[in-house]
Amino acid sequence: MHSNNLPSLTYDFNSSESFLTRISASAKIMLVLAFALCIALLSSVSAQLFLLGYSFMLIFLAKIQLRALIKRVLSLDGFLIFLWLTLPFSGPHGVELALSITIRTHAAVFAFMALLGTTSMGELLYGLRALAIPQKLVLLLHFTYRYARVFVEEAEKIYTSMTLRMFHPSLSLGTLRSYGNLIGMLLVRSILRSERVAHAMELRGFDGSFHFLESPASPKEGDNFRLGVLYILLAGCFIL
Amino acid sequence: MTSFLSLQNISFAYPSSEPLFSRLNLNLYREGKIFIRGRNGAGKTTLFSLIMGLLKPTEGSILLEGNPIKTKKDIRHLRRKVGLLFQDPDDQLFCPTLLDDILFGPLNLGMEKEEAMDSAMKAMKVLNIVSLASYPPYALSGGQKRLGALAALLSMKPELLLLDEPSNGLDEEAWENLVSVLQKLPIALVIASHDIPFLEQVTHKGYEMKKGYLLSLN
Repeated sequence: MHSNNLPSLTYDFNSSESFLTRISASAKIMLVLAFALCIALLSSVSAQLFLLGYSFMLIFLAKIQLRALIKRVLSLDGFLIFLWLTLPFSGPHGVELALSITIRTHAAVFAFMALLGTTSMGELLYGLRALAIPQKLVLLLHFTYRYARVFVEEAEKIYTSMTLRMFHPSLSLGTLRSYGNLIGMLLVRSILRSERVAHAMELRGFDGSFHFLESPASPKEGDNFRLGVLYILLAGCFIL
Repeated sequence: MTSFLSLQNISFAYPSSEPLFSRLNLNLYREGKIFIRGRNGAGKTTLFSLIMGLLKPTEGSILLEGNPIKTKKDIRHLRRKVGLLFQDPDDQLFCPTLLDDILFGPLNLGMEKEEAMDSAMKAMKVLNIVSLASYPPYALSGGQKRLGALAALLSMKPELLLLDEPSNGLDEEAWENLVSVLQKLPIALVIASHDIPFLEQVTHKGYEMKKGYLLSLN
């Protein structure tokens, strides 16, 4: 396979089959949305701690590799350190607020990793269509995912050609102008590429509807019961 | 022999530019592998875009099996029979996995899922890329992407393929693999390229594009 130094855009954190990989993508999307709603709306620390525990359970159920989990948590905590360095000194409830944000972000990241990180992009797009999300939005998500790497590669190519011609970023108008050129060139190239992709689609009979491959779920006996328990636990936490 | 695709007195100019073609004629047949070569900017890609209906000639007509291409319906009919391989396969592979991409055309043509899958598998077997089916296109090498884009066209069962600089950016192994694949393909090809060794191995005759005209080279 092609190898380069770009960060991987795939987000399969587990290689083994689990209950969460067997259930349908649309059920996982609904669950993660419900979870996101709960974690955003519930303000009591005890409820947030419950949801953190719930997200840990999801991680366990999804059989996520520990190394992948630690990597993500460390990159998240890198941002949260700045929060802890400033927020506690900003007012009487600073520590409480910083703690709440820390719990919420960790819970949200764990839940998204467990539920969406175990879903392939094809399944996710199919799941969104099954939930009657407008096709235009689904296609927008799909093309963003597909061309994010190409976009990064284009930016790297331009930046490399700048550095090879002795470009050193500094606090100057010249640097700003160079970055402006880079962004402008990326924009132009993106427009041209989007035109070519549209042509390629048109030439292969695209008429406005995208026939995504069906990714039927293959739940085993008891999987739907387990899914029901997850929904009930979440609903119970929200009600209480 | 009656020509499959015929370009008659085609003229074309981009807005605010000198005419690129002036009364150009070309006949393409259902058999044979031919090349079109010419300097950068000579109009090879533009010629393919005109054939496929992506650009409109300012003058002249294009005939498919003797019938002029006039309406959108005619263009759709032409695109069922003629496939175009782009210079950059990243422009042509836009689905979550390679298999989705190869199925994209057949499903749009109205094939049933089983039939489309059968056609996709046949195309992948011909190009020996069945093992790549579940990979996302961005994870493939340049040569694999090129074969994937070719499979996406073959699965639509075209009668003529237009290949725009197919050997661009390929390493020696991928280059040789593509040569061997194209030599064996039982389908008419028109290849636009400056890669003379590649053209010598795959095609048997061709044209030089110069100042808006096609000069026959044998």
